[in-house]
Amino acid sequence: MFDPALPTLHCDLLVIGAGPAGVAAALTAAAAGQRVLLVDQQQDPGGQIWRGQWRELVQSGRCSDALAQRWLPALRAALQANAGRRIVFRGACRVVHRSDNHTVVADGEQAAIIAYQQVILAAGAREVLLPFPGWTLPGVTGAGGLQVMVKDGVSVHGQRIVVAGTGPLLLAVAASLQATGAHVVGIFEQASNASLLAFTSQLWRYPALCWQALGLRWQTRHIPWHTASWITSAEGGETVTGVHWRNAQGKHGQLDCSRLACGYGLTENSELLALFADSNSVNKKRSTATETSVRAATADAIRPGITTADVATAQPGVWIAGELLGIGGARRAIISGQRAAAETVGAAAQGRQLQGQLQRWNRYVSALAQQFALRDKVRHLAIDNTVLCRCEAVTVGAARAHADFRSAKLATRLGMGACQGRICGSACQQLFGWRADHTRAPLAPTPIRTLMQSAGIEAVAVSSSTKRVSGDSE
Amino acid sequence: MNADVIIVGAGIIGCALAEQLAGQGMKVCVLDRAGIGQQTSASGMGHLVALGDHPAVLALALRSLKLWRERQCKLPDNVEYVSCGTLWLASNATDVLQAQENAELFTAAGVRNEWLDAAALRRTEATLVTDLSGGLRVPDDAVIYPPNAVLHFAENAMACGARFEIGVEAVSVAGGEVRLADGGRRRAPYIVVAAGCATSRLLPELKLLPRKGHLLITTAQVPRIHHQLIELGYHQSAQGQDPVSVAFNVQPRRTGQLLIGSSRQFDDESADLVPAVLSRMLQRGQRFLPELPRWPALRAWTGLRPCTPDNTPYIGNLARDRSLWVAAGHEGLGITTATGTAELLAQQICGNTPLLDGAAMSPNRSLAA
Amino acid sequence: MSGFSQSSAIEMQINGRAVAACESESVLAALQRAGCDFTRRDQQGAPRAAVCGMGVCQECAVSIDGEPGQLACLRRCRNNMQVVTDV
Repeated sequence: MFDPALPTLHCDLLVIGAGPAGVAAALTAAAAGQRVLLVDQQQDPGGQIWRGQWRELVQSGRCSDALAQRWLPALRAALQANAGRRIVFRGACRVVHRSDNHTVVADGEQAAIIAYQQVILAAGAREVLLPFPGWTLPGVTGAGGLQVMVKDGVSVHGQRIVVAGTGPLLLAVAASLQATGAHVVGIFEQASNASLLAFTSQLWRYPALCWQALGLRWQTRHIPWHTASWITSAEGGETVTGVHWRNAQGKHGQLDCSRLACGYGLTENSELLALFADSNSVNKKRSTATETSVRAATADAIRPGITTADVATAQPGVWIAGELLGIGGARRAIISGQRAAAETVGAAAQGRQLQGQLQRWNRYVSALAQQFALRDKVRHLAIDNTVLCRCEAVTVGAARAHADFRSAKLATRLGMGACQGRICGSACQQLFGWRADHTRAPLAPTPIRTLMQSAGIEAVAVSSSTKRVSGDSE
Repeated sequence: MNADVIIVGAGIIGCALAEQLAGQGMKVCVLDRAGIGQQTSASGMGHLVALGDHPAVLALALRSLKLWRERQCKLPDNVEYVSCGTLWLASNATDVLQAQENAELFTAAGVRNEWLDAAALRRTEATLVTDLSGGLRVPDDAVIYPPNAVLHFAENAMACGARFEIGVEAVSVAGGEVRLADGGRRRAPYIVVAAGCATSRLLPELKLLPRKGHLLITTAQVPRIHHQLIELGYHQSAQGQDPVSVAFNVQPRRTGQLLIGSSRQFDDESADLVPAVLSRMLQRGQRFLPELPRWPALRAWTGLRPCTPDNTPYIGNLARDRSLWVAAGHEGLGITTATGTAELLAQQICGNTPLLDGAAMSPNRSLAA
Repeated sequence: MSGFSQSSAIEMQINGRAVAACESESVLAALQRAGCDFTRRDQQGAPRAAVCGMGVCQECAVSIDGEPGQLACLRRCRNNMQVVTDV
């Protein structure tokens, strides 16, 4: 028999996501007197951008990434403080379900109920993975995806790798793979030279990024870099053995490789937002709307717009930071995390100052979205027998027969598999212009016992400021 | 098109009826504000089960099951008809008595059934807890995937000339006329309201309450279960009018996932999960499947069953307005009885002698408030 | 890989076979070292492997110490860990 109830953790501020935004938010809030619980699905803080940095810090005393080095040591010190410890970090923890305005259920190695006064959602971004013939072959991964796998120990030494997709991330991925001994045989960026020029020409406003870009271009100078180019298909038996490519001028070719690291930009992990939307307003909209507009209604109910620098949501006490404000990179994420934390303690002056800094990044966010927008050819690489929904092996042809995401979902099971539409949702948006269905709890597959034990949440009182932060820490 | 019959509601009942009537040559028009099979039909378990509180409902269910079996080979593969049968689980002496009563009823009605003692039960379903008294096996019960069954009925209806108007909301029905939310009207000599929980908006005198239920589906990384498993206590939950009740029910799907239910509550029409009820339902599940807590939950959702005060659907002609017909209020038996309901109502509309006695399901029957 | 050389060498079981691993690397890395090029087969029997590396695609779901549905890309190795893939 399992325990009848989950342990409850209390805090003033729950920060979901320990990437740059979450770490900055936690430290800022703690400095202002908040008792903070910082959670992340990974066992260490750092998120995706700083993956592996915490391990380096613990083992060698330093992070190799300069920006991580400015923040993670401070977090580590805060976690280790004996007297007046204000931040607790809980790793391998995913928020899967929300009961009411002040309690969520978290799953992970040890499930728990978290009672909070305010929450900052800093769940970051994931890669946009578009379907194309052969994309389900083992060895085909995301671009950022392969980079983080390597950071956590996967070896690519001596392997022939093609890096493809779109975005500044591709250069970073190619450089980092090369540094571990991989043979990167080509980078295929679908954006045109004109777009890339337009993007780089506004980087002067962000000197740190300029240096970073130059550095990456220098490191990758020997790797053939193809612009206005994309991978049309991957081939192989049980793993990928080669790719076909094409460019905007019609030139095409083939390359042998044992890995294809292909990602078409980043998109926010917005499922968490839906969990925190006010269910009353969502349901009101729901009763008059068809299912396809529910997600729109949910998003509108919780968040003003994509490129806004506004960390506030429609829900009091619920804030967003980082890539949830729109893809903008680590530096912007850090400022937004600080800003969100300032708002939680009502530090108006600090908030205004940070708002100004944040707005400086708006141009970058827009440029990123605009110059790396996907061309039609790349949206429509998949053919009718290409798998669209990976989890349920639903093809593009089978999905295409339906009018919208929900109808396709009910009829084919597209989006009903383990990833709950996270991968195929973007793909359907790009291919058909469909808005995906709204998110349901649990946000990630979770042992049934977590849901069995979470009935205790209704009995939990909202935490008071006299309660200590409880739970694990590093 | 000048319709002979307008059906309000394109759920499984509306679409099955459309197939019947269009197949008999009537000009059918189906209206739905959301889509085909989008509401209750999309949220339920899809069990085809010999069950019914009132003898008339049981008869309807049995006739329906026969009709489902007859069309089994014509169903497309994506309807996923699986004759896994039902195992009714007995935990105690009361359950065993209930099982015996049911067995007699089934045998008398020609429904195959067999009693499995505790040892046989353990051999048949290894995941079950070992302290059960036994189980009543009904091998001809089945499981389908309802959204595709509804589409199948709709496609058959369309192939016979039925027209579906989606995104069209009916706001009133009277005297052979349906008034729409956008101000439009549709006229036909026969109007059938098959709108599930929304029926009482159009026919307010028919008492219908939405009865919310929870379901949870696992990932495929779970052990195999061969039958649909239902505890005999399900009868009390379904037939009673308790504000909140749970009863164990699990269904194997063709994907290898397990669909776990069931719960019933009256007080809540929102789509939100209610943690306390979900938890209670799962705890009830654990009583029968000890390893349940370890299995990965993929998704949980709710649905609303249209429930009448006497747990018997409304099927038939309204005495106060002979242009109006109704087929709604099936509680948890909508999928099971869709075929029989369509046949019965079509017989009534076309003036043929109905096979079943529809008196108990008449919308004109008097009901205790 | 920076940092791994300093972590403890451990042993774990992958599909019943003993495999040497590092304590701070991911289960996915250990799977690769054990020669598991893929973690599951889809409905048509085609092999599938990790794609996103960040807990989204679920292709790397394996059973760890008897618990199904654990994401190999997010979990770190532990001494005596029992990993079973879906193939």
